[in-house]
Amino acid sequence: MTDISFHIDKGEFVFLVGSSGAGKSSVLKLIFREIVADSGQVTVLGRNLNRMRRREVPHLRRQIGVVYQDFRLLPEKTAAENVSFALEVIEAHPNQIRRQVPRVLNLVGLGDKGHRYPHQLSGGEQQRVAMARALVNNPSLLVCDEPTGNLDPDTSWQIISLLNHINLMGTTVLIATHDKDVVDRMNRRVLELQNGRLTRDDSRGVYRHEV
Amino acid sequence: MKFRNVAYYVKEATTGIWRNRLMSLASVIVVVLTLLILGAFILINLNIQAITEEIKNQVEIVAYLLDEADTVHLRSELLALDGVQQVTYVSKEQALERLRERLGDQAGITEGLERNPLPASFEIRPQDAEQTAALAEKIARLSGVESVDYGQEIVDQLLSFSRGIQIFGYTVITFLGVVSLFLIANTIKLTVYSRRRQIGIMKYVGATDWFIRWPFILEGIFLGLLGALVTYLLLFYGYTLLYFRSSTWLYQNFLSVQLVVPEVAGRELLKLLFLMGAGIGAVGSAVSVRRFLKV
Repeated sequence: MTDISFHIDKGEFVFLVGSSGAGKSSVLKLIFREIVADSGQVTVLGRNLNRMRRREVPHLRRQIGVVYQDFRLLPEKTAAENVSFALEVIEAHPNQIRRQVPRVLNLVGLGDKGHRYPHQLSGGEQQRVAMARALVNNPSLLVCDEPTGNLDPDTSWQIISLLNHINLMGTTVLIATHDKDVVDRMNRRVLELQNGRLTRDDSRGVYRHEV
Repeated sequence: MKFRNVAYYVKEATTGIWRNRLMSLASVIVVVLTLLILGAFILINLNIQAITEEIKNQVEIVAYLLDEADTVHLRSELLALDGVQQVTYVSKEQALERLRERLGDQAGITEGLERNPLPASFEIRPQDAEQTAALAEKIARLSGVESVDYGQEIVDQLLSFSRGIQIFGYTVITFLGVVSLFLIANTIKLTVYSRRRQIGIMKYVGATDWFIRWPFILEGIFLGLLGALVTYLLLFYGYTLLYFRSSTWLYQNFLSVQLVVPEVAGRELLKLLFLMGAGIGAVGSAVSVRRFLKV
C-alpha cells in the first residue's frame, strides 16, 4: 500500500470502500496494530503505533471495538456470556461486568435474548451480540470489517442504523464495506481504496463516484 | 496476580480439560508412559546409589605389620593421616582366632603350628572410598608396615561401574525428559488449537498475553500432575511389592545388600515425578500457546 494519508476526527462516521484486495482489511489491521507499517506513520487515539511496544498493544485494543463479517462469537457461550467474556479477559471488576452487560445488550436491542446461544439467534442478532461485545468497554473508536457482509439488505440496514445510533452517542465509527446500498443511503464520509492507494475522500459521498 | 484472575484461570483450565476430555486422557496417558520409564530409572538409580554407598562404607584397608613394629606409634601416625575415619588393631592372636573361626571344622590344622605365622594388622576405614588407593599408598610407606591390602581391583571396578551407571541413568533421564516435553507440547497444542478462536477474540478485545497464557499453562500443569499421580501410585505399589519379594530372596541368598525401603524411595519418587510432571506440563503448554499469541 502506498499514498494513503487520511485523518479521522473524533465522533466521525466514515465508510472505507473498495473492491476485494484493494487494501481495506490492511488499513483496519494497521489501525488495530495487528500489522505494523513498513514506512509511514500510523497514529490512533493519539498513540504512535509504529513505536508502540508489544505489551502496550492490549491497552490500545481496549479502547477500540471491532466487529467482523463472521461475528466471531463463541458457540458454547450464551449471548450475555460472549459479551461479559470481553470484560472478564481484560480483568474488569465483576460489578462493572454486572452493570455493563445488560446495558449494552439493551443498547443493541437484545435485552431479552442474553440467555440464548449463538445458534439460537438470527444472523442479524448474532451481529448485534458482536457489536455489544465491541461496545461493552466503552471504546472511543468502533472498527467494523464488512459488518453487513453476511446479512440480507433489511437486516443490513438495521445494523447500519444501530451503528449510526452508536455514532450519535459519541463513538467514532469506521466501516470497511462494499455494500453499495448502505453507503449510498447513508451519504456520509467515504474513503475509497484502489489497488492499495487512497483514490477518494468525499465528506458526503456515495459508493461509486461518477466522474 | 489477582485472586479473581487465579479463580478464572483454574476454571478455564479445568473446563478445558473436561471439554477436551479424550485429548486430556490421551496426554495423561502419554505423561504416565514417559514418567513410568523416568520413575523406573529414578528407582534404579536410587538403589544403585544406596548400594554403592553401602559398598563404599565396607571398604577397608588392611595394613599388615612387621613383628617388630611399634604399634602405639603407628596407630597415632595412621590417625594423623588425612582421610582416615577409623583404625582398628588386630593382634596376631586375634588374627589366628579369626582364621580358626573361618576354617570351622578344619580348625585343627592350625594346632600343629609351632608359632603364630599370622601378622598383626591395622584395619583402616577411609572417610572417602574414592580416596582408598591414594591412602593405601601412603600407609604402605609408613615404617613397620609390611604390606597393604584393600581388594584393589574389586573396589576400583565397583566404583567405576557405579559411576558409569549413574552417568548412563542421568543421560537417559534427560533424554526421556526432552521426549516427554515434546509429546506434551504437542498434546497441549491440540487443546490450544481447538480454542484458537477464543484466543483470537481475547487478543482483539485487549487481553494481555499472560492472561491468555495462564489457563493453558495451568491446564498443562494439571495434566502433568495427574500423570505424575497415576505414575506414582503404579510405581509405589509395584516397588513395594518388589521390595518385599526381593528382601526374602536376598536374605535367602545371604546377600548383605538391601533395596531402599519403599517409604524413602516413595518420597524421592513423589518429589521428582511431581516436579517433572508439572515442569513438563508447564513448559510444554507455554511452547504450544506461543504461536497463537501472534495476532
